[in-house]
Amino acid sequence: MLMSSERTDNELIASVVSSQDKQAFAVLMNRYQSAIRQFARRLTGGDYHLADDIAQETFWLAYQKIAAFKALGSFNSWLHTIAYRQFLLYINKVKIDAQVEFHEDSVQLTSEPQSAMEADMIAEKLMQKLSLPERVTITLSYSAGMSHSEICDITELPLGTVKSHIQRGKQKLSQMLGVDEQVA
Amino acid sequence: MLEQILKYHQQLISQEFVDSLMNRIQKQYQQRHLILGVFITLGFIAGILGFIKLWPTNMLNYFDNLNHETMLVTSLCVVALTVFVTWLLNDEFERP
Repeated sequence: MLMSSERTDNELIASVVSSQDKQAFAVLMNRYQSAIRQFARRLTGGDYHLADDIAQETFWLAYQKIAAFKALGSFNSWLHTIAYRQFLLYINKVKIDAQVEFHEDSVQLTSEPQSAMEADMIAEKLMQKLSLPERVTITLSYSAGMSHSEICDITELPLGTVKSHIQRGKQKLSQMLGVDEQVA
Repeated sequence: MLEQILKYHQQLISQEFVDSLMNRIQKQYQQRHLILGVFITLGFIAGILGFIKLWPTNMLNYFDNLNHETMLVTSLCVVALTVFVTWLLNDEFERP
């Protein structure tokens, strides 16, 4: 018999759906919590409390709705869709502008990060400079390593729009970092 | 270069994060269990009251006239019915 951690996503999901196996769901959470929490951190531009709230809500909803998961795409992609929608709901609820104030002096963009934490903080600060569509598409493409078609599914944006958001975001980031876009 | 800057650098794995959600799921399970229990009890009480009301008085003496064999068969039927209902509602009573 396979250990829970060795089972595939679909096997674990089947176990959660058929017998409400909470242990199987815990394995799924351990498998994807880092990706979802990082994604939420990038969306919120480094608001860790809000990001963890969104991530918690994402997994809570995923547990509630797991029977509706059709396995047409990956479970990872499905979780990112929920997380993104949760973030949009939050923005609409509190009626805030997703564009967060950017303090150029708070992070030395040109300096070499000393640790993984610092490197993530720099990336989060950079995200603050982008519009929400640019932020989500850039994060999904460059950080989560998703294909353009997966990004279209998550954001419900047309392929052309996704590509132009990524291009525009890339240009902004390249300008900020002072690097040649072709190199970037 | 952008890939290098924007990639996720940390692995955010926290048992506390998982436990927090598992506690929430457990709490919801207990709440559902409580609601189910309350409504089963209410249904049972309402059923008993209705049964007593409809039960003809002369039939109450019926049990006095039953022989041992009939009582045994009746008891077995009740046990079998209980086992069947427990099996049917197994999902609801299953431990998380």
